Amino acid sequence: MRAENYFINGVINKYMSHLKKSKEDRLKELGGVLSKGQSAYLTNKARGGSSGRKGTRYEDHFSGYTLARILANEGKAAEPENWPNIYEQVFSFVDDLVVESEEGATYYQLKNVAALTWQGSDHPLELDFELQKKVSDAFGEKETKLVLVTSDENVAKKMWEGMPSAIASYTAIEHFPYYVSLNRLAIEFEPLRAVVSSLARTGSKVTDDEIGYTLSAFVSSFMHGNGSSSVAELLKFAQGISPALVRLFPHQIADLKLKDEFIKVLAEIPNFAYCYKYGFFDWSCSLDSGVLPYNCLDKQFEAFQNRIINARPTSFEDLEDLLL
Amino acid sequence: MSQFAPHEARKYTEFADKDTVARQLVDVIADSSITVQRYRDTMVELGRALASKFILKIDKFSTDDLFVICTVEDADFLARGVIEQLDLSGLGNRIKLMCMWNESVQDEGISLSPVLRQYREEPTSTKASFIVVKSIISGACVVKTNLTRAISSSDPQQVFVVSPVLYVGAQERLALEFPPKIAEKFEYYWFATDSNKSGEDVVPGIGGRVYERLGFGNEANKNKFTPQIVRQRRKLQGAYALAATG
Repeated sequence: MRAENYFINGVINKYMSHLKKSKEDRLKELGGVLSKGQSAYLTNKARGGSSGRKGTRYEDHFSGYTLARILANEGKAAEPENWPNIYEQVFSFVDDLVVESEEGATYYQLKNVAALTWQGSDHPLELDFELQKKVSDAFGEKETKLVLVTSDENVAKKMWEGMPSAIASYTAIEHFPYYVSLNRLAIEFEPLRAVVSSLARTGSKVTDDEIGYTLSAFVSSFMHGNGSSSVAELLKFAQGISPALVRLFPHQIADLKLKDEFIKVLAEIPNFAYCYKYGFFDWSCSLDSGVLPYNCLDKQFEAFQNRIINARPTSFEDLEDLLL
Repeated sequence: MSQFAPHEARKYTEFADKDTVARQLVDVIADSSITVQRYRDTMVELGRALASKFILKIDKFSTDDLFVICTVEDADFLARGVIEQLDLSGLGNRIKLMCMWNESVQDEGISLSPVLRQYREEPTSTKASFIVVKSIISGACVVKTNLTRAISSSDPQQVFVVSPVLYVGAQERLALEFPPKIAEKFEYYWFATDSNKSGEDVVPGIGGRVYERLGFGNEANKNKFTPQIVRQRRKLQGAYALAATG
């Protein structure tokens, strides 16, 4: 376990749950809950999960989407220390992804397959879900939700209709398509478009390519982590990519103020409009538009403001080379 | 025998086989010894040659917009050649220029080309065809980004993907990035397919990195520049706007 996971910009994250415990400690605590066979199965399942981590792109895409959903829902209001934690490949029966918040934990099992059943195979999904609930209860989780995520819409429908009654009260089904390309996912999957648009760096109408690279930044943030991260930490990775691709949040730009002289100079340029509500200088002037490659908290932005103030452009033609 | 000998490793397309001048032009830009000015002039020529191939597929009686979509480094050269040829064919009044300034991001296996700036002329028709112009298409990352930006505001009737050189597999890579209903509209016009690489550079390709060969210096420098064609057309667009309101 890495202690630094609990620290985000000097803030101690409040969730230090059983999910962060070592495999050995978890097994020990579950001694009376699981049979020998179930413990052995769990150990083997986790091994398979770890070795299958590399190249599991469906999982990567869903992780990025999950991070975006959390930030879209909670990022604008809550303080970072209240944001959830995300764990990949947890030592659990439902193990692909876990989101842990103050309200409880949501476990996701991802299936990028064309056919699936609850009861098939040596280790039926139904049993995995039942055992997961048992383990979560044993660890005293406030509320446990289990979600089966499938890439095939028909499989999702079939699994919903055939859901065993024993797990129905705590289980949900979600459809999340798989395309090799994140760009195509960003163009095609409407629920994702709505979420990721709100996290893009541009304040004006968000274009499809912006959605694609904002999503890519979130997916990429998981590649930096060690499988167990706070949302704030993942956001830090996503926002650290250069040129910056993810908006800043209200708590990050609470003190952001443009220089008065800078505002005055820009006001003199006909048709020039700009927005920095999302922490980026996003501008347009008639047929031209753009966004600076760094955010407004970056030292480069202060230098940019100074360049404008010193040059005092009075037309877009004078200004445009300063915007690059 | 020509100074610019054909490259054994490259495969020439049917378009090049039927046009010996175009075939020679695509070999000229692969030569790393030619001057910046010759390289620039050759890119303009290649733009004209490529346009002369796909122009036959454009309905001359239509009034649909023809969006020429290019990068900042290609605007004054390859794209200018395409635009000049369209203009010569009587299609000038339908041309709309969309020029983009792309930056490069490489992070943990993810390769992106985010748009930092764009110049986009207003559509005058509800229907449009896209002419995506790029000096070389290899990983297809820039073309993917710029085409994605373009389809954000318009559903094209036709999409011509135009480049002197493609790296083998570029068409398949680009198609994977889009829904089939968009990808099935792609029509490629190019003169040579290369299958060798030295690091990130296609060999012989276009003789190195296009922004260096065109005299922009490095990748960052090419984004600090506003193409002449953008300045010229912006002025004209302003004039049209004034005429329309006046």
